[in-house]
Amino acid sequence: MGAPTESKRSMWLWILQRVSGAALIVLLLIHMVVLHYMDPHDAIVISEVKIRLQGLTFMIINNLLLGFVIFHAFNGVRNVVYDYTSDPRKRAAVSAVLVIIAIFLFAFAVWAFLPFMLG
Amino acid sequence: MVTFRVFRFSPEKDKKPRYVDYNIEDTCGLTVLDALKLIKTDMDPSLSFRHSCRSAICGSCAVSVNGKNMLACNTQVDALGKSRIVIEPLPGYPVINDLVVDFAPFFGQYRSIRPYLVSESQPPEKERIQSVEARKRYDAPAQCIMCAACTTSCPIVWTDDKYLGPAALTKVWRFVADSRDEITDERLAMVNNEYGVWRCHTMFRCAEACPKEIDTTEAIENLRREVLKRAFSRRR
Amino acid sequence: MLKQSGFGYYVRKIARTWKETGTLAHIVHRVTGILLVVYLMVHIYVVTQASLNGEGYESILKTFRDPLFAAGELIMIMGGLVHGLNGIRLTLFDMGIGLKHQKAMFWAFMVIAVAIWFVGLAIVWPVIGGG
Repeated sequence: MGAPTESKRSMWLWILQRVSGAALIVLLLIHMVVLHYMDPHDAIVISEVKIRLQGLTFMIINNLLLGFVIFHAFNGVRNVVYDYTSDPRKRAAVSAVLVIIAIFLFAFAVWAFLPFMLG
Repeated sequence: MVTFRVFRFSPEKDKKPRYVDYNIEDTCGLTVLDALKLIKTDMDPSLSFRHSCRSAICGSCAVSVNGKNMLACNTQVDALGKSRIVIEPLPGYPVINDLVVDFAPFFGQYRSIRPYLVSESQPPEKERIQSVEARKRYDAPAQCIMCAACTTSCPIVWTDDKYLGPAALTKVWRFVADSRDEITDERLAMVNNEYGVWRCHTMFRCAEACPKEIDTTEAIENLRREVLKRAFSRRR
Repeated sequence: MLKQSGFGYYVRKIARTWKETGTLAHIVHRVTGILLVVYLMVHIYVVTQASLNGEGYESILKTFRDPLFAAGELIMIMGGLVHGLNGIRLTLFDMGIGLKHQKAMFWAFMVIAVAIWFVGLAIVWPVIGGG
């Protein structure tokens, strides 16, 4: 058995999982405060939701939140799968599928919100 | 009286493991290893288990006692405070017979990480000098007796057979922390992958299982920080 | 030789030792994490309906005002708090902080999670309780 070889990607994904986790704590706090506490009544009317979602700051925060949360979630699932199988081919296949789903989900959400973001 | 519920599996006779109860009337002063030897000599000579030194040095007799890995030889039966004690082989590795498991994966991973001092420079005339402080850095991991109590306690090891596991990773840390070792860079590279330090989820099971009280979880965390330091100091 | 590995073995074995604090913290982190991924998918679907299908969104929101769904949301918030606070605990270990006090840290962070949950609930209660 030769010495194990290095994979920088494993390190970067680990670092990003920590960074995105820390960012999520801040962003989710803002998300919750803005949506439930600043103006505590139900967002049942579409026009109010629209007004909330506009504005550059909120747009940036929202998209950052979306990006970080999708990365953190899917890299988390990847970690779970990697714990339960050591086969490099199975691992690579699962990774590929997760990357595709994550990118699709992010693109779909951004696309769905475009009309709001553009006003 | 203490009942010892012992895991039995004979590859010739059994398809599944079975549990057999053995009662020992007086357990005063008895270690788990003493109990196993008593069962073998007085009750059932077919029972298989590994042991050698009886003094927590050889690392042969690690077993699972009531679900926790420990050395049979330095565990007092009465100190467990239970009237029924379940003794099973170390988890994770294949069972050869009764309490004897196959250590091939353990030593395979151990050998892969070059578990010895490597120095490519000209050796000094006498010994390689090391200060007392420098020696202290790896005092704890140098105590390892390779009983595999830590590695087999790790659930990731049970499902990911390529994960290096706490014993091999702690050994890497032992040499990374050793001022005389000259291949720190290579050592940090070999744990920086999908089967290395990043697979650890800090459950602390390994550190709790270690009969030598080595903080193996801390060793893995130390290694991670060394890997990160190396990665970020080399770009610049 | 008798195999002692694989997912089934893992589940059976961990079911017997889940009471170890470090193991419990790991299981809690993993289960809340998976639940949050499922919640994230549902959440993105519901919220995007606001943009894609206004009427559909309002009818979905009405469903979500059902006490059962409200309770579900509150449980997910607890899940998020537990996952986030244990995440802080794990990151502290990575920075070399608190490894010797991991058990006390887990319970302390869980108490903080429950406290934040109750404070948050108390603030929104007039809205969701009266709505």
